[in-house]
Amino acid sequence: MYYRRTLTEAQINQQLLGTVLTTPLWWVIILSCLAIVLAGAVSAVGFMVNQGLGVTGLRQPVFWGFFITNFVFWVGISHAGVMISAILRLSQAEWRRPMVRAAETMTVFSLMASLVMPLIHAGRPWRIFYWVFPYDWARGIWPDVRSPLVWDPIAITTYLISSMLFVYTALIPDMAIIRDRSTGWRKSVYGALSLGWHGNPRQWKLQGIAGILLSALILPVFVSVHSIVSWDFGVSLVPSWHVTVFAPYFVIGAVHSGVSAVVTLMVVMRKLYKLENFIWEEHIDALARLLIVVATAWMFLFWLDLIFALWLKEEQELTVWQLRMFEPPWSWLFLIFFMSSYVIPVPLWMFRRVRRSFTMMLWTSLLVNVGMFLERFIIIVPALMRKGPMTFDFATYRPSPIEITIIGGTIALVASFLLVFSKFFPLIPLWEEKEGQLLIDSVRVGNVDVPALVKEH
Amino acid sequence: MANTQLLGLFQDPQNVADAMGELKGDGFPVEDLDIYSGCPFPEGSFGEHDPEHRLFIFPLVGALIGFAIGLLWTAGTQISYPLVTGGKPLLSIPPMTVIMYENTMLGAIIFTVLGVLFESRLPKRDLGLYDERITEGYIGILVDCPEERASAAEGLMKTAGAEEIKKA
Amino acid sequence: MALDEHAIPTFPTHQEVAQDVLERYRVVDQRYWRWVSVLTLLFVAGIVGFILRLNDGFGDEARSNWGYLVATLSFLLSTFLAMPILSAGLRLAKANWRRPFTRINENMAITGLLIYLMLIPALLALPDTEGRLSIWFEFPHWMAFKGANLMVWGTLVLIGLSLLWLVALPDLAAVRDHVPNSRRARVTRFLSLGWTGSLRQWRVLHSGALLFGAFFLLLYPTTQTLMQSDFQAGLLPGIKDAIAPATAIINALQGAVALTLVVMYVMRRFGGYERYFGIDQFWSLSKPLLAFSLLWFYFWWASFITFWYGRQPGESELLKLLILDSYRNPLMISFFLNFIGPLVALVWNPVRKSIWGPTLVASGILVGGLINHIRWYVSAFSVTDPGQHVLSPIPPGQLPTASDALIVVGGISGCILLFMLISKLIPVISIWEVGEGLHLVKVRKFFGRYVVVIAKSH
Repeated sequence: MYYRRTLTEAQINQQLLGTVLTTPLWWVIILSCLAIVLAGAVSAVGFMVNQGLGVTGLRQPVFWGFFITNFVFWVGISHAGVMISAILRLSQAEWRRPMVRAAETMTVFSLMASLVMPLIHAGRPWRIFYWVFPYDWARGIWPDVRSPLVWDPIAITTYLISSMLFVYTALIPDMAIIRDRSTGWRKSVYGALSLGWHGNPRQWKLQGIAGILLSALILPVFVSVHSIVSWDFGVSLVPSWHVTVFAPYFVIGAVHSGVSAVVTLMVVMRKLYKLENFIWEEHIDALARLLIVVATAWMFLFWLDLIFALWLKEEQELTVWQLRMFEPPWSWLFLIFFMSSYVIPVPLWMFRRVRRSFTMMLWTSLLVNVGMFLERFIIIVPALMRKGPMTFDFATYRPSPIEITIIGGTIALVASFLLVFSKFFPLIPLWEEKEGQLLIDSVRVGNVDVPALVKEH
Repeated sequence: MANTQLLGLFQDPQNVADAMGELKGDGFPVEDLDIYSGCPFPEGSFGEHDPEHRLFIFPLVGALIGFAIGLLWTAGTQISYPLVTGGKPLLSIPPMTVIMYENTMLGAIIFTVLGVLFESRLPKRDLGLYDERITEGYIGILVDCPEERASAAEGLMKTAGAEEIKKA
Repeated sequence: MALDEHAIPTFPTHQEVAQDVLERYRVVDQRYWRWVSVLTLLFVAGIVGFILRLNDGFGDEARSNWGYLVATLSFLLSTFLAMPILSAGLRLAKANWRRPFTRINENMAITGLLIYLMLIPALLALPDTEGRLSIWFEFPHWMAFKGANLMVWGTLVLIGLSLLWLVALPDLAAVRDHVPNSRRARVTRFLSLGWTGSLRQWRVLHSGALLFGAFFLLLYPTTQTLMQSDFQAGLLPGIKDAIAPATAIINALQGAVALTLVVMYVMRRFGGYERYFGIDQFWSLSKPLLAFSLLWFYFWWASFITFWYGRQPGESELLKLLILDSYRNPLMISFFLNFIGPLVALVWNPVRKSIWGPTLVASGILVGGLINHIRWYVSAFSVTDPGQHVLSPIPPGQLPTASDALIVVGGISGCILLFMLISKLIPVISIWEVGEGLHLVKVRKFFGRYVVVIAKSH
């Protein structure tokens, strides 16, 4: 990693607060387009609520389809935040600085999108209140705490609240900066949000400790969330779902898709917000190297899943895998998933030129997420299609245009949230960038100045 | 004896370190000196007072509260309506563990954030003696001293390179 | 101006480190030979225990006799032979604090020779694949698990030794150049391959170290997968525990970090290596130790909750065998030593940031790890009919006999003995890596205090 000291504090303020203090035309155009997609999705939801779940592809026994796949997918994307922010903060990786806030906010908005999916999936969302909220006087019974479907919302809500608090705590110094750059009602609002931040040693010390402590506390939550989602499948007796490896498999898969999503976000941010001074080739190079490790670990767990699925030679299990791997169209989807998630991107990432190319990294990261969406789809639906032992119970599933529209709507939702967030808060932490530049140094070895960093402890 | 406050504004961090050294050398207690900066500097960079805190208590208390709430509602709901589902016995520990764990962590995290704000002495209604250039790269030294010592403090900071001295 | 709050850090020079390490290398004192003698005796006792077991043969009826040998084999694979992973992984991550102890990790690759020898009777004790579950799907046994295991384990050992030899070349050359002529010096001269330290040689060494490290990192999970599936899962009727190899790998990482801490402590305390193994090393390793301890529980829990919820006939029997009944006590001990103890202790910064704290926890982890491996493998080897659909009857817990105890002690002593012997051939502190690190570090004034500035190599 080559560290460069390029900008003064005033320049950092000016460049990173560009879209906060002004509104570029591209922002309005993109948000409008996303709003149209969102409107389409909302209409689709309304149509589905009016007409019933029959307008989707869900049929007995396949009652979990695109909506649940999307739910798992967005929970997976949300794992980017903690991976980039918490783990890299704890390991003191300097290259995390431009990405942390974008990753953390993507976590928050991904979780919101994921929470929306079970509500839509219920068909009559208002009835969720009778089921989810822990009061007993309407139904005469509390929710069953022994069910993984109750663990799920608790875990996701915990992760959502934790991530929001994490984002907010780290935002305080930046909101103070915006307070000092604003006038009128904006100054009052940012003044209130920044809680009167001064930037004295006590506050900075606690800000540093908060980062480390919250990272350490959020990490176990991050591991547990997708594990609990995996146990929605793992603790059932559906063939090919009742597998012990699902928990780490889902978590590492989530990290894989989440970090890839961060790469996508970084490249797009760099282009749209003109962040060439902050997001460099070294950053996506580091992310790509991280992805190689994560993807390889994910592949190992996938192979364990496959080998041990065949282990007991149970007929139903073999039937499901037969469907997944050898019967079209699932075989084609399986091939696409396998190629997209690992076979194409990982060998490409072995090349330095690819890792340092923003275009290549954008396309490979998008490919990974296409593959990972298919991975969840292939895990969920074929198992339900062959859930019963009798062939007359076998079913097919095809997502309807309504489902596809709603899925597209969730992508637009997350993108819109990110755009709106960037209007009010900087996507790259100003104080972290300033601190990073302060710690840049070099060590002279012979005739060479080797880039170095100041280590406090 | 009435106290007053002065805020010296510097651009060069080395001048800040020098000014702090002069002020401490002239008998100003280090607890009465504060530094305002737009980004964190390594601890002790300016010879400032090392702030003590008890932050570690907050996540512990939060975790205990979260654990208690988790235990209460997992056990309580099962005892209120004892219904064996899926062959799982009532008050079986494995499923309760998951929810209790999540609540414990949520409690710890919420209380950690509250603790950080509390120990940072936030929220603060009034910014007091402050300058907006601090978030533009300036570093401020806030001196809290008796009125008769104010001119000495001002002189020391000016000698060390302060661009401006603001008074309360 | 006074900078009393933060002491000014000082570092030795590369030459000082080289002189110190070579001086320690030259001197082979009585205390060393005493320990070598003790370990040799214990190792020989282990061989005696093994020979006593050999009397009963390798038939199906004698399979339960070999449980403790296999447990020891797995424990050694998950501690001693896992240590090169730390060297490889931390080198890839460019962690500067690994430099003083990296050679300890690499030297442990020599234990692969003994571990490989122990694999042979373990393979002989396994029944044929016919009629039981295995990842070989009844492929002819001589090519399947025996051949494949020997090949995979052998490759792992070979890669570990190659990594050790490659990264030791500069230090072997240092020994060649500075240690007086003796049989030991002649061996190191031969092993140093005429190393001169040219630019080309250094480039090849760096690339080779990364490559061998990557190969070791990739092959180790394969080895653990074979260990778990052939020696445990293949003997337990009805088990379908896909996470078991991953659990074994995480346990191995925990074991490797723990053993590194213990070896560092022993070398500090009895070898006088305090200047190399300081707070930095113990503190830095205590964090992954805590992380792996949490993961120990997580991987165990993922397995347990799936079986507990499933309540399938086969799964309930396995839960009774491994967790709830026959081996409940070993699990409880292991649970405390590998998870609860490390969590409660290492969550506190003062404990993590000490020498004694991580060492004490690490010692507990090693004991707990051994007990856990006994739980996994002794239980599996005590099953009379691996070809059943559901485990019945559930075998009771099997305590070790005298022979078993000798084998366990002998195996561990043998590995420590090999490490001590190799450390008098290859310097136990990597002179060139520590020296490289010293060139990349400086101390400078940072306004009102002193700070350490660290550069990244390459």
